[in-house]
Amino acid sequence: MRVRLKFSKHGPIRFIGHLDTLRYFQKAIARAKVPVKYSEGFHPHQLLSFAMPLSVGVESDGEYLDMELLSSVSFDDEKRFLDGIIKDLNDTMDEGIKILSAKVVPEGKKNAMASVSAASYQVWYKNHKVEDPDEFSEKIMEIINSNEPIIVTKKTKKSEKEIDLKPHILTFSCGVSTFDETMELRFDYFMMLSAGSENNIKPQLLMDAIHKRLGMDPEEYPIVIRRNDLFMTDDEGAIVPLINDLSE
Amino acid sequence: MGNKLALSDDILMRVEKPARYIGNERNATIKDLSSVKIRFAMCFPDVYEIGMSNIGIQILYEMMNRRPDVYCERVYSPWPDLDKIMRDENIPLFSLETQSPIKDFDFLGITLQYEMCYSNILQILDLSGIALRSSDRNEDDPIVMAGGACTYNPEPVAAFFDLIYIGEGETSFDPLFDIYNKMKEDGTYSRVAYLREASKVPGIYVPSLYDVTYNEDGTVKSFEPKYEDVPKTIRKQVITDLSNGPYPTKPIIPYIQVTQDRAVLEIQRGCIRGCRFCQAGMTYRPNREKDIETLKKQAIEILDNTGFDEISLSSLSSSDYEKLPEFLDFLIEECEKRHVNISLPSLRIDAFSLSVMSKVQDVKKSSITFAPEAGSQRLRDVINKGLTVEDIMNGSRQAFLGGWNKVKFYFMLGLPTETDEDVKAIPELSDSVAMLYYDTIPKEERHGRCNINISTSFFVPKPFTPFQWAGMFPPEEYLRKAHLLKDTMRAQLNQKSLSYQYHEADVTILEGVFARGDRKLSDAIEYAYKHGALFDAWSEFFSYERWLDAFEKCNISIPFYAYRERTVEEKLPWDFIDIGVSRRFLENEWKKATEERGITNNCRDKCSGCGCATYGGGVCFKERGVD
Repeated sequence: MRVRLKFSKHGPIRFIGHLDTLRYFQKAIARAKVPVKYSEGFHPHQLLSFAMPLSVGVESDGEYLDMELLSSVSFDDEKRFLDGIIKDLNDTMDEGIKILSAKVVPEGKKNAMASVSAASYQVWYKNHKVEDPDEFSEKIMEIINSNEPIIVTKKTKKSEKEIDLKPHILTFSCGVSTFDETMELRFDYFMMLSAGSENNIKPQLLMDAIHKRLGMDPEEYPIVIRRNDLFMTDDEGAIVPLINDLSE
Repeated sequence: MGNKLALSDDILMRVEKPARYIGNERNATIKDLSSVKIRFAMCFPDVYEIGMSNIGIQILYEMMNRRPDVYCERVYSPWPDLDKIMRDENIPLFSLETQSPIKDFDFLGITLQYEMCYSNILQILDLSGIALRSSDRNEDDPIVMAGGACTYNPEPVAAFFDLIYIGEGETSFDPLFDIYNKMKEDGTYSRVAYLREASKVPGIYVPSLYDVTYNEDGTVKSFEPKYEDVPKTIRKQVITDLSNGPYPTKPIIPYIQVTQDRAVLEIQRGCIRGCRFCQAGMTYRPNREKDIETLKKQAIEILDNTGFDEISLSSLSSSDYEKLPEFLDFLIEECEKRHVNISLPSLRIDAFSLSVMSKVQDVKKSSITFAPEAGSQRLRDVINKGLTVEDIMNGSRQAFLGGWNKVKFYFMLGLPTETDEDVKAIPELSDSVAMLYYDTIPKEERHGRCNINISTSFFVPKPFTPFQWAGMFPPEEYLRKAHLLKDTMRAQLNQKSLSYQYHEADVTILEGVFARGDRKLSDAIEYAYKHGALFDAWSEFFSYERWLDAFEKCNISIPFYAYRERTVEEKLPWDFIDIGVSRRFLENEWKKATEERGITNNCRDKCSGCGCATYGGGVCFKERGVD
């Protein structure tokens, strides 16, 4: 049986990388005595699979992890069973990672990593760099809404290729202001971009392209990124949250 | 724990492994600063991953934090990338737990586990904004103290410390803290007054309260306390009842992979063997075992509280733990349930340990390890190793039959009385083990050729060992020995099954100078630090030339400190410390070794009267009582 967990990552723990997050979960799962399945051999490891690595320093409200449970595990009440796992895990984790929800993944469904097709982000300028957010937002929306492609060079491990970002911007909105920790007014940009193994577009890449188009030096305008959620494409082609629509 | 970090996001994103500096790990102790009277910063002067792997610090962290009035936090050496940023931007060194400046603490305790960390001591002080030398510090500065293996000769770094703790940390911190509290409360506290009182606490050495004079040839002439109420000798502190001592069964779990990335269970302290080169073997005497029920309980608690997927047993010689078979039966069963690996360092290779190893590791991938230390039986007897060719051959044969085909051998070059014949005996012994493999395992059952890996380090004489008087050799001579070994190996019949690695000779010389140095070395350490020495334990940062330059500028003669053989009449810089093992015992052992008068029994077979029975515990009082 496969169980998918949704979790958030905030505070100092955002400075630990993907592999260390995996190691963090392995220990937490062992402490919580979740009936997870292990691989065979002399160095058995838990059968875990994360949806998508999160960059060092980035906070998130929507990370996902699949755990394979022992085949002997069964339950009468799915919600109670899953709530128990969430409670056991949260009781042994108070460093800034919190399990938000859990769901049993039906047999035959793709794992979290293979499922991801989009990610939503929230972006703002560090130190309130942009002086007139309203005017600036208008300029950005012009670029987003125009028919002109946004061509960027995307570097992968093996090659560099030119791609148009436009088809990968699934949503983009701006103009939402919030108060930050110091109670200063902050201007946030929200976007949903293609994600996953095929076309993974990072917000930094898009923002760099926008800055370039506007003649701004990206070094001068450092941004902060927060990941809000991860999504998959369902059988009808609709973009849905990774945990909401697992049942038929 | 608040989320306020000492370093900005910008800096954390610029440095390698920012998780080294954020604290906040599970099981780290959180206390309200307003509820504590004493703040103690515990420092391992190397990078986080190394420092977090030290069990001694974790024990003291646990012990101190059990006191409601004390809050012990951790600090490690910032890696050179952050070191530079902190200097450029004037960021003071901070603790991990509360992310607050070290200068605000009452105590800064630095553990000295190897000589090559000495330049990092000065980095810690410098980045904290604390004067490098004890004599230059102000009333507001923390009391800077040292402890750990290197403090059995603290003299080279004595000038940098206000007080030095000699021995095991479990015993004397309570009086140190109680005196501090009392003096603060009744208004009698001053640095000078506190250090004077502290000097009367067992095991506490306050360097500034002693005068050292030197003979014309540079050797120590006298070492005297400045005042009558300051003790002449400092007695090493020992915890006799290890089973009931503090032990962290809720150790801090690092976020990032550290060197010792597993649960660590100390099963005993000290060693019953009396290898004559081994400092730990002498300074940790008497050997004390934890009782098996304590170990079982602690093992379960640690695994429950951490979720580590591996547990390692810590001791100088695990095979000598009397109830090892019973304990391992328990541990193997417990760990199998939990999918936890067991790592068993320092096992003697025999039928029992091979059968255990085959249960806990993949025979095909793992190797078996021997540490004969010397190639010839003559030299093994000189060093009192007590390991025979038959032991090695029998162990190897059983290992080969059990499916192993990789063997690791550890040796030392440059041991006292060593000849070229002894050096050549190393590859010859290795060759005969390779030969044994081909004789023992029929062709059709072999998985490729066997693999005998020879590794050598150069011997460094250490204080409080029978070899503390021995001379060392210049780097060229060490390298000649290494090349002789290699050339001899190439001439062996099974040379294709043999491989060889040796350590750097330059670092060895420096270790030799520091290990047996005196107070005159502190100038050179400060000079080298101010000219860029940092992270000398890391080959990518170590510069021999920098140290040679520092020695020249500060009139330090390498031959005087390292190469010279000392006479037993000489007053040694560390003679004021009493580790329980008597100087007479060490002198006898030294003579016995150089005159080749055979080996000395281990503590369990027969007491050799080293003097440690005065501690009133451990192996000295087991079975046969006192000799």
